[in-house]
Amino acid sequence: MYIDYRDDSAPAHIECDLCIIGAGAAGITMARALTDSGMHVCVLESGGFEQEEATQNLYAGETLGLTNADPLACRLRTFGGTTMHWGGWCAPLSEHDFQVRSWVPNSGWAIQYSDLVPYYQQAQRICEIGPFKYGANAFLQDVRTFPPFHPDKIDVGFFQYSPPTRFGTAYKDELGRARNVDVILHANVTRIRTDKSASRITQLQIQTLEGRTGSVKAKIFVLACGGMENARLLLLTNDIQKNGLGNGSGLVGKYFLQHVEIGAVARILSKEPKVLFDAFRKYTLPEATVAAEMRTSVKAQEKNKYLNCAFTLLETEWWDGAWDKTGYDSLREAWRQVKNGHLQDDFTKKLWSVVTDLDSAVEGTYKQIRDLPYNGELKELVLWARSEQSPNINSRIDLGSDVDHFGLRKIRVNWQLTEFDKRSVRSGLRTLAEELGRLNLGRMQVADWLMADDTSWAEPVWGGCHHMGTTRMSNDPKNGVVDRNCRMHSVQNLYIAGSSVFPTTGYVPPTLTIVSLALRLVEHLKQQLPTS
Amino acid sequence: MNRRNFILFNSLWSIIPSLALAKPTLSASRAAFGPVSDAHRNIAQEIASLFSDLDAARAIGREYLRNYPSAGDPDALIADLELVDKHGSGEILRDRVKKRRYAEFLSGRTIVVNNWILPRTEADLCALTVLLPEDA
Repeated sequence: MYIDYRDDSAPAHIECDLCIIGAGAAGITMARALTDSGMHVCVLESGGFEQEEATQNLYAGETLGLTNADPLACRLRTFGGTTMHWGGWCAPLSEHDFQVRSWVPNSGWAIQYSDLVPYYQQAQRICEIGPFKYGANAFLQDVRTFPPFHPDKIDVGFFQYSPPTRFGTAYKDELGRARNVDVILHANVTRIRTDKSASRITQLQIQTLEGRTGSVKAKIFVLACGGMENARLLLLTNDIQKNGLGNGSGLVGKYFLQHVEIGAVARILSKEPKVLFDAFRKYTLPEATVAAEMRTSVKAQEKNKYLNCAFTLLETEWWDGAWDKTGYDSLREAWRQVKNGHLQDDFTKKLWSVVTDLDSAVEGTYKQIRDLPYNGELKELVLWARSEQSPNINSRIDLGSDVDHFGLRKIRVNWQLTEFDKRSVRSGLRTLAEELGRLNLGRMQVADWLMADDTSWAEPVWGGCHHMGTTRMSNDPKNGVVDRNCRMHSVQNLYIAGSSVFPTTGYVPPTLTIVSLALRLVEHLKQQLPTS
Repeated sequence: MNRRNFILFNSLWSIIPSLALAKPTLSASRAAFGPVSDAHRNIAQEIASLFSDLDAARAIGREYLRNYPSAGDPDALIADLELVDKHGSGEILRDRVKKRRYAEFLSGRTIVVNNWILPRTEADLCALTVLLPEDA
């Protein structure tokens, strides 16, 4: 059931078994997994079904350090959360990403890859992608032959493309029908109240932008507001613990991580660029839409002591900005909605985008039918790099001095990268260049700024809007904020869902892992909170 | 690297992978037994024949020598590249270059010239086009 908290008929004070704060990928996944659980679940969402400027502006804050980490631009404060503008790239973290690596300080999760595999398998369906397979022989073996890279240097792996699933539309009806789930819209958490020792949450204070206030009491609370807002809410709760709720370690907001994504990191000259490009371009297959990638092998990472990174090929024309395919993308999304028999709220907008960019829609459709890359004339290739960021305590989010509509201090984001992060991308490229050269597939020229052995970062670097690490998972309370079950070390009835618990990030986008962790958390909570 | 240099190098690249297929104009065996200056001249001609765009090769060679002045001894480069082949077959030379390039990429014996990641052998050959001008 949906309740608009702005409506005076909505109960001001709410009691439930489990309160989930935030209706994004994690919150909606948890709520869905708890339907028919017997628990009374309430989900608090700051926004409504549509994006609203005043609500979105609650994300406004300061950005220090590197740019491209602005929450106002990256995050969406609406039902469905940031999935409402998600790109749809899906892949799981690798086994290696969970392990302690001696050359990566503060690496290692409190859980292992095998702990998440059953949930990754379920998450595939939730994200509307194909079977759970991502290795070198997962797809395309009948279509393409991949270069025989030395396994100690470069692996071939796959991404799968979600449509992308807009959680706020795809699962809206289902949650509306759920008898035990109340989704409270336009309910902003403005205060977290705890007992005197700050070891239990007693209730939340909630408020609409229009000023209606009330409270929520629950046995268990889950923070699921994303990699930035999770930390902000904890830091704002400082009436008993001056450093913020559950911040005995001092690590809430610290180790703010994004992915290091660089769009034009190198170019490749090849005698036959199309052969290489065709191997690694996007394919729509009956079971999934996929693209292969070249990733540094675990042995190469160990030997050269660098971070996990991977590379995707682009056509030069794409990077030069000629590939504006708004019309084509809109057509595909509109077609998907028609095919699914469920027209979403943005359907008319999509059609309008098709009409206003008909050239792209027609050309893209033609290429799709003919199974051709979008641009036919291929002269050279450009590499797109994706790398994990090394855990860095100086990269952080905290509270600024300005306040928002509710008088709460706004977020301050300080994204910092290091020489290690830069060297990792550079060294990973060198590994790939040497393999391409050995196989006589081409020669690589690396972007000038990246070759400089310093900490400067050029404008093309961005974080993918993947906000992680600010409430990191650890076995030892001194080294993190939540335990292996995503429960806060020092707050008995508060759990955290979402990418803020990632202590390291791999290079893959976080959504599939966020959904998997949310499913795992539900299993844990079902044991903790017997059905009422 | 600016666009002009990039195009220059592009044309250079077009011949580098075909080093093994290029026909030397003068056999290395003859060059090995002449006077030093003749040997250098012969080797220079042989190397020049490997490149379809000698200017591009020289541009890379000059950049390489600027960054790695220690590579400026032509005799050391000739010895290292084993260009003076006493057994006298161009085929052997071509095979050797091919194998060296493969081994260098495999072992990571590569060098960065103007941000291009090249096997040492290719960079050395480019350097020799500068150090041993054909018309010297």
